Amino acid sequence: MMHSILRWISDHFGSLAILTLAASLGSLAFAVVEVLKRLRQLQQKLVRESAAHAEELKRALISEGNQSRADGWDKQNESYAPKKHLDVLDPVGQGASSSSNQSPLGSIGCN
Amino acid sequence: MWKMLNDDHVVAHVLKDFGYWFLFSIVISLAQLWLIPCFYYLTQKPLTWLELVGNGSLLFFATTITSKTAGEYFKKGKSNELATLFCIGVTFLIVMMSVFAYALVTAARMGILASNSLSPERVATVSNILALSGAIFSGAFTLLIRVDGK
Repeated sequence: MMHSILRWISDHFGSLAILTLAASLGSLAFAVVEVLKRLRQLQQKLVRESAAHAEELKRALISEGNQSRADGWDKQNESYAPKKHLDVLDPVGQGASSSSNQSPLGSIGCN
Repeated sequence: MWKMLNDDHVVAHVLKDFGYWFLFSIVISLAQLWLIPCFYYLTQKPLTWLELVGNGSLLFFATTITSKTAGEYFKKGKSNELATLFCIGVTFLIVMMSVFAYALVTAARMGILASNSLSPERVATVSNILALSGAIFSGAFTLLIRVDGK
């Protein structure tokens, strides 16, 4: 039994070596896909955290009564701001109807 | 804020760890492949690739780098079942074949097998393939372990 297994391995050594190489290339492809997936998750997490952080700072500025700086902060971080934030702050859609660049804070009486 | 800054450096950390892996596990582990040719070059003696790896020295490299990476993966990683399956399968293939090939080389050297039954060319080819497989496997799983670890 053992002898026949060894015989089979030595007869198919070349094929097995190629199979091993293919398997290791497969593991490399798998690892690259996993790494790209993790990087994408990380990027999304960073964007979410940046948006939350910008929102938090903006609220802090508003609570201190510094509306002009809050507007500036809004423009500076508009790429981070998800649409949902605008919808929450501007439920009746006044901001959208007047100007797309206008701060949505006007609709909740912060001006 | 600090958390965000730390996350921002994950890629740099992974690349740095990968660089360490490349330096120690590939460049230094395979020092025989560049030190011996350097020595032969300085002494102006000819050296072929067959003479360098025909004795099966790369088979050792394949075995050690594969088993070391698999051990590290089971210690730190285990990201998912498919990765674990890959790890077990490829490790088994590389280690078994390297050990088997080295046993054949040793048997031929000791006279248990007929010396002409094992050609150095075939030993070199199989060694190259297995060492390359081991290096690719180790690189892939090192990347996976580092990404999981961060």
